[in-house]
Amino acid sequence: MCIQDLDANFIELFLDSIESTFSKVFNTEVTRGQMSIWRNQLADHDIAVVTGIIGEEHTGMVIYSMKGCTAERMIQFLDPSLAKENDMKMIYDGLSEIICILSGNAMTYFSENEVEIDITTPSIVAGNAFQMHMPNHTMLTADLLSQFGTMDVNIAIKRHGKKHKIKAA
Amino acid sequence: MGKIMIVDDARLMRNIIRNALNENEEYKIVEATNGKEAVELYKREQPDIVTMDITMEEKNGVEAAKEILEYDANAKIIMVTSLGQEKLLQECVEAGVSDYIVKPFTKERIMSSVSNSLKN
Repeated sequence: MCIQDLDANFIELFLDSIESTFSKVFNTEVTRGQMSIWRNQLADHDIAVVTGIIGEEHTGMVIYSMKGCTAERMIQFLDPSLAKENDMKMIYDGLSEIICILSGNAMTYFSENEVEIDITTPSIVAGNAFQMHMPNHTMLTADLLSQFGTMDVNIAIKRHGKKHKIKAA
Repeated sequence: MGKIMIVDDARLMRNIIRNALNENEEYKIVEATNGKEAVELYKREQPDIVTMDITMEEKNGVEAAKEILEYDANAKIIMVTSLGQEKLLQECVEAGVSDYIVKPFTKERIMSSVSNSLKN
């Protein structure tokens, strides 16, 4: 898969959905930073949440990555008592729930644009200095900046059908 | 004081709902972490209202809601769902649940849904 295979309109629509839902969940503003090509490294992030995208016309994956402290701040905002326990499993469970909400809203957002996709339940990878390699995927990374820190949204989407064309946002 | 049973496998969501409900009213809250536990706890605790997540392991919210409604046709169940689960939600509505809330929701939305269900 090369950069030309990435469906730019899909990615734009996906990021719009994520930004909008993130703002609603946390009642906060989100700013989108510059997009870049992912180089098989998750910056210095130590949490990655991996979801797959399966559709009639699109397949791919989305990896949300962030520092542990960013995830802790997000969960603390929603439920201070959980973050106080300093139990990372609770942070991961909470993060997984948040990503499920983002995914559900993205699916509906696409459905409204006549594109049916399913997004798999999230898997969380966590630890110090891990690397992820996606030999068959070129990913684009968009930084989402909020009061909690930076969350990278790394997306690889390939369009393999021609039934619908997504309108540019 | 109403008794509310919160059913969700994610502790974060249970806490968010509990904190929202207890902000202005004093409810007695009981919690279940999956559908199987929810059916058993319902029979034991006889809550006035149930908030039920749709997607859970062991037994999902749809099956649990149906079982509770079979046991007690007057049970008041509020489904808590993410977008993208419309088919499952439709099944719950047909089974007779009282209301549904879509994540992300505001405190006001869950408070008004519970308060309306208690009145009806």
